[in-house]
Amino acid sequence: MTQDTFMGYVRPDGRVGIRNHVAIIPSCGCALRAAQMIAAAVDGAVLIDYHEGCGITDADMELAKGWLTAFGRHPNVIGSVVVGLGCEGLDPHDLGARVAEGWAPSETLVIQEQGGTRSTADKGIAFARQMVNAAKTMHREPCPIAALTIGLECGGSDATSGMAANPALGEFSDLMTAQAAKVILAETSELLGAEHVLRQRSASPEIADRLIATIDACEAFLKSTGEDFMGKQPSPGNVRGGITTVEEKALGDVRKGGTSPIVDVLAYGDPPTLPGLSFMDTPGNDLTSVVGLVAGGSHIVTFTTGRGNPMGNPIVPVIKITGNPQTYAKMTDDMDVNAGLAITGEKTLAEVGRDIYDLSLRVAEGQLTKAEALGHGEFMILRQGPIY
Amino acid sequence: MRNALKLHPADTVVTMIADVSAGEQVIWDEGLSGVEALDAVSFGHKVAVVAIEAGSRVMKYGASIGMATEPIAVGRHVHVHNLKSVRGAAKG
Repeated sequence: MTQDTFMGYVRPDGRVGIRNHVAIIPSCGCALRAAQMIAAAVDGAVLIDYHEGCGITDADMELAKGWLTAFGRHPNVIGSVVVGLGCEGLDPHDLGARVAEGWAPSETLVIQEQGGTRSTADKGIAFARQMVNAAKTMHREPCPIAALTIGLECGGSDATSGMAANPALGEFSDLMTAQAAKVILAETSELLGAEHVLRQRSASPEIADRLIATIDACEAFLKSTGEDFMGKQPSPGNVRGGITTVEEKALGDVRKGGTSPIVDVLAYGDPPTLPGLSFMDTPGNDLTSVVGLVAGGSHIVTFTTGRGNPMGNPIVPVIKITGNPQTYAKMTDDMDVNAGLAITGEKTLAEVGRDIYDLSLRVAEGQLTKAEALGHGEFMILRQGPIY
Repeated sequence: MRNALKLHPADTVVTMIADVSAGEQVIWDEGLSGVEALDAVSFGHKVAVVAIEAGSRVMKYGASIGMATEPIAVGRHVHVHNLKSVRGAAKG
């Protein structure tokens, strides 16, 4: 097999980036407006739309700080401006210091120290412009596919997801893992009922046990609410699209991972360390799951959707793949790949998987996905505890 | 002309890849005669291809996708009205 390459940015820490974004990171919802003003004013700056940072448990605060740090130090980010208010729980100076431990420049501005929203925004805009200018001398060079981390996600599923888009994405996953890329399967609550498949797919009995324990813990946590899954897993749109039960959804979902063994089980937002297919414990909620995949270092998220979900991410391109030919025709502005061709018989699943692979390399080299071109930058982070 | 997909030989349902009206044939293998739809069934939805007893497992992808809540005749639409998750209930 030939070793494929793509043109990427090799960072001083040895990791490879595929975009040059400046991340504007608020440390709490009260700093969001100033952060928005900075991101809106600077071409090349993106808003990390974080709303919490205050009145949450210490455990949630620490985890959120880690995931925001992971965004600031993501290889697609070439500089960060952390914007704090000054009285919030999530200390912006500490967050800024953690981000600054990476290779890229980072500045921290605190609204109550700077004298308000306007002066904070003006200073942030100047910092962000300097960072964007510094990136202009960066150039791409050939990189192995093994440098890539790919997140697998599905959202707004219908019956075509399990029949076409997810198995085609499985073909893509196999092409990626054959090149020693890191690929991440996720969405724990969408795997109830597919445990026998996952056990078979695990690289060792120990990995299988960890994976099943993760699913069991998720099931117990969700059932502790006293509510049935119905209406959440599957969602009302899933049901209209023909999916009846969480088991049926799971058996379709698990096909995203292809046929290579599952080599590791990761906590939400943790980066994979081994080449091949890993599993990350994320919720089925798409925004939250994608943020976990990106905090874990995904360069690209490949996202299957039967009903048609348009969401993106601020720092990572999201490739939309629909298995529903009607959705592709109706939502062509949002959909990158028509896996419905495997339902109409115009292409095989393997051919669609190869199309996704070829597109992902073009995207890695700079081609914008539909979600990027539309400016989608949705952001929602996991929280387990209450808001005080 | 094929208008449904059977994803595994052990499956007791097929999935429509075109809308079907009651009385029309559901065909997943052009070499077989298929079954007659007893209900109108939309694209993406399931049709029983063998008789399924109440309380027994409904099979798709070669695995259980839940339990029949009533007897399901060949050709019936299989969905939330006659199929229930075993895994997703808060109690039991």
